[in-house]
Amino acid sequence: MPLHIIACVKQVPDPEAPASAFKVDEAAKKVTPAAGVASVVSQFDALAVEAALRVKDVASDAKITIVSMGPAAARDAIKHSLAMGADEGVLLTDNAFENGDSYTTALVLSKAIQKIGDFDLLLFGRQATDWDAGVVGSGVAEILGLPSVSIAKAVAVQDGKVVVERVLMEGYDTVEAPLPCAVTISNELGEPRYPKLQQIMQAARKQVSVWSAADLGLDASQVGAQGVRLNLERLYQPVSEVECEVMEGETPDEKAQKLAQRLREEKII
Amino acid sequence: MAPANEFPGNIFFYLVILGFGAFFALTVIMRLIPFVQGKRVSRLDHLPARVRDFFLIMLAQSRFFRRKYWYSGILHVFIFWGFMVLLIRSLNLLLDGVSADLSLQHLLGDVYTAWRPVMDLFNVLVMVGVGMAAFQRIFIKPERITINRDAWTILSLIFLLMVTDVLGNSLEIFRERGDKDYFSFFAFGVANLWDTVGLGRGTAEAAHTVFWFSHLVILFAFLDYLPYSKHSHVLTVAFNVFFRNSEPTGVLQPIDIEGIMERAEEGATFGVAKVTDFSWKQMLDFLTCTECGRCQSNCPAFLTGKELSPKAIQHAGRVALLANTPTMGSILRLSPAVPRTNGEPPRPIDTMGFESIWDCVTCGSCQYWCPVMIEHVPTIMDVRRFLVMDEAQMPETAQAALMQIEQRGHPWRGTTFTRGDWMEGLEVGLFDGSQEYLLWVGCSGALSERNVPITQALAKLLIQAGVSFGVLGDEEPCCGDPARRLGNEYLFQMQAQQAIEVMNVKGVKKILTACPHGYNIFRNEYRQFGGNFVVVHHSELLAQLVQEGKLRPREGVEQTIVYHDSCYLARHNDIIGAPRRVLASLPKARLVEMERSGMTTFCCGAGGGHMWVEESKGEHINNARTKEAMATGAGVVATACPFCIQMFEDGIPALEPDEEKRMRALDIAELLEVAVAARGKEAAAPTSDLSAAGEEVSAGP
Amino acid sequence: MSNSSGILVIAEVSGNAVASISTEVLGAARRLADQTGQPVQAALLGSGVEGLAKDLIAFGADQVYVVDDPLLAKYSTDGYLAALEKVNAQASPAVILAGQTDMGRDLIPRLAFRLGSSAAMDCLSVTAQDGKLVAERPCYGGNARAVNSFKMSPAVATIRSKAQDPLERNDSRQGQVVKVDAGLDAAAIRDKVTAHQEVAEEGIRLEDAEVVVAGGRGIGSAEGFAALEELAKALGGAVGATRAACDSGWRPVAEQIGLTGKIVGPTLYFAIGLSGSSQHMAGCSGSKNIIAINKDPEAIVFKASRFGIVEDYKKVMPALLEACKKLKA
Repeated sequence: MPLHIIACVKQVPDPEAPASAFKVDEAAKKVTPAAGVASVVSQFDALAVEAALRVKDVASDAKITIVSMGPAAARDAIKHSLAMGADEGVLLTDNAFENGDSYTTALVLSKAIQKIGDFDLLLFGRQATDWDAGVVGSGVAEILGLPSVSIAKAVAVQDGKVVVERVLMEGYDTVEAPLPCAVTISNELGEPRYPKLQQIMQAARKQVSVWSAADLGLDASQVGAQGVRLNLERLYQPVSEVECEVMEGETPDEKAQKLAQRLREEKII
Repeated sequence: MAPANEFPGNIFFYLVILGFGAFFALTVIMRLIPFVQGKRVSRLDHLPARVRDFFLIMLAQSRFFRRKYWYSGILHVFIFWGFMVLLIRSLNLLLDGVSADLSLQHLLGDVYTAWRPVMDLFNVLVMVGVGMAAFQRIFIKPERITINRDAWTILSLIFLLMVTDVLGNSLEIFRERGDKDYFSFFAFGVANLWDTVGLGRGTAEAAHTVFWFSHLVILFAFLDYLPYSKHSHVLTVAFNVFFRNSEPTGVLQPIDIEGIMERAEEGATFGVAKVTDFSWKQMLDFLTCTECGRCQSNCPAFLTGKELSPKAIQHAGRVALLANTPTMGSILRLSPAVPRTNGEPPRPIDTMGFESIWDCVTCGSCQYWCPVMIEHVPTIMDVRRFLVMDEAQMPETAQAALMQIEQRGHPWRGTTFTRGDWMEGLEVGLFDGSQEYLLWVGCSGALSERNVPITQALAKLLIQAGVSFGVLGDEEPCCGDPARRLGNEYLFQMQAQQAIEVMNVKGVKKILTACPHGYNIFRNEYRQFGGNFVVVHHSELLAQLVQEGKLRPREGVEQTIVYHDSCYLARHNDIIGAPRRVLASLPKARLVEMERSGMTTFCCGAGGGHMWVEESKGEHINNARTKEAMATGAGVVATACPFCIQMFEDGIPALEPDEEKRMRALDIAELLEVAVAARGKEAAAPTSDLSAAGEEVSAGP
Repeated sequence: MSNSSGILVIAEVSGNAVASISTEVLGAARRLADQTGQPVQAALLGSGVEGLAKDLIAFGADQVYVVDDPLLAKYSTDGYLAALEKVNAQASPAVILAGQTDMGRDLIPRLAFRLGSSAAMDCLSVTAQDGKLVAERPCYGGNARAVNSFKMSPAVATIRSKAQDPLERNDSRQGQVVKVDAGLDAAAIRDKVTAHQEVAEEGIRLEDAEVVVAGGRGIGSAEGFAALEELAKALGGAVGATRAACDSGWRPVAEQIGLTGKIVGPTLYFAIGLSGSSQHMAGCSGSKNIIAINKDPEAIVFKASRFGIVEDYKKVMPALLEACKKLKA
């Protein structure tokens, strides 16, 4: 039986857009979409696709399905992943999904994964570069009752189990778990591959299914704003200090000590 | 009467002609096989210009009259013109060999006689030329020239041809004593020598026969040898010159992406994967390269210690081409049809090398200096396209830049600017079809910290001069130049189509740009996709505005200024005078020139996508050019290109740690703005401050 | 919500002691407890860790639930989840807190879901408003802050390292120690650690480092970078360099930060002896805190920095190194 890998990706506003373009609409509790800010595949999710491709480099008959929950434009995130070498895509889009939280996202993805069925490995980015939460990947594993390994820098499949190098503060662990399993990917994995043009062109011909809440057997009360477990009370921009605080002191030593003290006070060290 | 006119000479004569002739014909046929398989391109456009260039470049040897290589120029002109002139003698010899009645001497009579002194003169000049070449190769040994057995064989054969020609001619004169023989003054002099030494009739006849047949054999041997030597340009150069590139040199040709996708199953690739993916003209280039090395000696990559040598690229192309060509052995079924190494013939990327392909900055210096009209840059770029689009193999920094353009619509990762930021405080409006010019700001002009002040200076000047213009603001996409130069033709086409559509929808007719790369793309390349616009570079417009009195430079700019020509502006697009006219209009400014300026300008190092690609090794090209600029003693280096100025801004602090002593780098717009003391619509201070080490000029790390 | 009460802190063990992050989380829990009048509980999982319970009490716990089991000797997702389920059943907390650590990142999302709730991760603060937990956390790469409240109980959150202060250790504090039987089934623990690798002396990858100490032309020589290496080591960070420094051969190209080098966004970025050209700043503008040390008061880098010292770096580094070492100790 060929290996079936499902990788989940999210499209986010470009995290490297100039800071001046980032504005929060506090009343709407949303980030104002700025003109000229591109939508990109969340950095770690692109690596999740890369991790899937690396498994496929070894097990050449493996199949990779890309799943993304988002507005219709999220289709681009799926197409980019297909161009890298994935085989099929599923777009989950529905107004009911909007304004959810990590839990509702995990729930929707879990239902979609169950509907796709017959999978061996689930791959996620360790966190999305907009909300930076890091909950969905492990959360999906929990909902589906699967083993999970998080923050991976390498993923390999051997004899029905997954062998993962998990990043730790001071090094890494090698962790094994039986398939089916979920793994979240970290940036230590490396760089996502650059697709060959032929692959980009072929991506246009690959199948992308589109499913709504009803297709997943979910109703509005379970997802989106109605289904959240975490309420967003407030979203705001902390006032950034543009002024450079120059350390005063009689001697260089004094200045250095003052700096260390300030760093401590600001909880930076 | 030729020694070949009667038995047994005539048998030998015809054997030689037929034997060598057949070998030559077979060689040519085999060599043509890959040409037939290669890409079809049409080079029949602009026929009158082609004929004109054929005369100028090939027959009049115009490129050999450049001062830089005067020595080689002289010797080559002697040898080439000698070759042309002495064709008459060779033809005469052949016809005479068949029958004396057919000889040119007989048929052309006095015309031939009048030609005889010319031929004898060139006998001498060719030998002088060969002597000069030998001297050069024994004592001077310039690095650019390949000195090997092949080279000496050619020189020797040419020399022997002259010797046998003169001696044979002299012996014929000695034997036949025609009344006009003194026209062949040199051979006549040698004939007198035979008189003086009392050469016997029998000896003379034997010697004449020997030299006559030697000349014939050497001539045909030379002909047969040519395709197997690096001197094969003798056979191909006429075609290479006639079918030269007729477009501006900075232009790259598009790829039919859809078409190739359809043929993907048959193994079609986007770039050049195998040697037969090249066009017949590119293959002809490989066979026309004489390895003179002028390209190499003027290549900024080679001169700064990189792997790339344009000459080596041509040689590598030739190796790959010949490896994919049937040989004599295969014709005679002695060996396989195409010689193989490890089972596969080498591909161009194998013989040319990854590093070399990426070292090229597309400055076009090689093409400017090449006397035989080889097009080095498109060949390199075709292999680069293969690496990028078919293999996805490229330096990390190139990959990052391409991904930037794809994802963010511009190559400037990490910019803290948005496209509209530069307009703050200036009365610049969006283009709506009513204005005369679209000012194309460009990704650099809007998002790169050093270039934003230049855009602002230009805008202020335009406002002051009352020029009608508008901008695209946030709607301006990337023009796609970095993508095309980095080899991603697909990404370029997407950007180009997007840009053309935006401009057409808004009714843009005239584009004004401060960027030579943009200028090149809009003017010369967008028409490949249906975008036809009138394009003006800001140096041209500023020069015109000054000349018309709409801008009055009154404030003194007391600086010694050296102008650096951007490759894409000067060499590729012939804009050399306009920026200088702008600078000349600055009161109290003193202008100096670098030796490598105008058409021979030395690249700043940012071309070919190298603004975003780290150099492989050796000295940084921009440092080399900065040194050159600094050596003029100028206080300011003036540029008209957003890449050039960034290269200088990097190079200047690298070479001069003391801030006080540093040369400043400024765009011509910034300099003019200071001189004009532009007021715009508000009394704003000039963007640049020339009196002190201004903060706008960012000091490098 | 009615039956649950208490703030449960999931403690971590480092070496043979309580990890400092846990003392910080206990501090936050204590402050919450004071606001809400609820007890502070701690969960202590491991093998042979019972002796640390008193330390947890000393740092603010009222009750410590100890799950001591050989199967918990090393962290495993399944094992620790199962054990915590048991603790939760007994302790019935309204709030569960942990540190944003290797363990916290892995464990908390699943634990929250398992208990029918969800988690707020990497929080800077947790407070009580109207008797309910409110957590504030950074998002959008630090450009924004989100304030979350919880619909379900227990409210689960992780706290960012150094964001909260621990209490003063007080060995005279009294508390209860409750032993909980994990009842673990080895077969049910699906994830197994088969090898462990300490990071090599080379140090952390530049892109992953939380602290980067970068130098430019002003360092003057390859030897000059030794001071930066020491500072980086003391702070657990990596050394970076500008293009000029790499070009001069002082640092390997792999350390180059900038437009054609690496893009980094650490919490702390030292820009030493570099003027701050946009080419370089493009590579580090994502840093949360930039500290510039440069003898030129007009250097552009000061405009992008939060803190600065106008001084020749050579004169400042020794004292700075000492002071930072003290901070990290």
